[in-house]
Amino acid sequence: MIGRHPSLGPKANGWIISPSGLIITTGIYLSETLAEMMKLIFLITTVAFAQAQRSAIVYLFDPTGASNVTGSVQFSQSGNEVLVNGTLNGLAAGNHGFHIHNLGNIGEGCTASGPHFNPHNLTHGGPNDTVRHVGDLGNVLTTSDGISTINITDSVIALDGEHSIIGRTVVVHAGEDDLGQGGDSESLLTGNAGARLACGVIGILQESGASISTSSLFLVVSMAMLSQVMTIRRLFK
Amino acid sequence: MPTKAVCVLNGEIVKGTVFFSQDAANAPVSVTGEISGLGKGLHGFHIHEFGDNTNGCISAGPHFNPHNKDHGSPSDAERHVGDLGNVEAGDSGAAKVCIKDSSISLEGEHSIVGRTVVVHADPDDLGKGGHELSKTTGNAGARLACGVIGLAKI
Repeated sequence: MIGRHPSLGPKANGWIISPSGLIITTGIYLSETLAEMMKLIFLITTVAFAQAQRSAIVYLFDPTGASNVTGSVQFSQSGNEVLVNGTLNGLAAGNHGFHIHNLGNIGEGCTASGPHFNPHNLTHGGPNDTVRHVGDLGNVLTTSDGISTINITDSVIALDGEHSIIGRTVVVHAGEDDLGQGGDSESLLTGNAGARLACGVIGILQESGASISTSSLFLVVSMAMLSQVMTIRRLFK
Repeated sequence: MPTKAVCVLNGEIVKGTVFFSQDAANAPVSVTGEISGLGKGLHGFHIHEFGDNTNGCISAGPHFNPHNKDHGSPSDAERHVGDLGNVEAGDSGAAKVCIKDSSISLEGEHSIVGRTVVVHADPDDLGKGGHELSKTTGNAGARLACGVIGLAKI
């Protein structure tokens, strides 16, 4: 509902907007205090939205049940980079190829996810190479206790747009990715990383700027109501 | 441009694969597939908000509901985008999925790619059961199997 509040009189030029019982009045009599408050409201809103960066998550497991490899990995957009953090359990000690595959299908023992995510039809490479698949994240290192700690920063994958990995599959391989340096044709396709031990479809964890935290929303609403009281008080002085 | 998506459902006993297909951005989405290992009868079948299965199906969060509406049936105006109603299993425990829905999409604001399909233990009362959970979950009970919706070959 949008309408002119009758109690404000003809001079006030105040408008009432009440979508759900909340009344926000903007008068022409903006005091300095009120202007400061509006600035604060703007600042709180900006901070609230800035906190809501897009993030994604994947739970890896072996859909066939043949291996005990499991893990979870989180992807967070930070400017032009995506931070990749997580832990895998159950791999043999050493390096294991870790890639984003093209399709979001974990069927047929992870093979239904297709080849590496490669929208520009380049050859396979290492994460630091210019010529690489978008999905080439290199290797994860597993220690002798079977734990792999993942801590990668990559500026090629993204959480939206052309390079978005949402709805695609993360695969961890049995062998080491030779990063395209193996000297054979398979090296330029898969890095000779071998069998697919575990995989998972990358899902949405947090929308970008779409949500606003409840506490911040409460603050914004409180400040808006307070500013309305101030305006009305001033009008009837 | 046509778009396709797929979801492999994984539960302790319940398994299945569901395919999504959309001819154009605003066209209805056809949902087909088969789910096995269910008890005979109706089972709530929904898209949940998060593509997070790190703590089992519970981490998928509530139904996908970008417009903050009440839970309803797929044919109601007042429904969650993720409200796809029920699937029905026969004597063998297998349910064939054959749904056409105009609220979900494979792109844009209502995109379900990267979100989770959940199949429930109990029937979805479609918001009309009078139970305290009817307007939020359809009182569909435990989450028997789930999977993150991914991009499929076109």
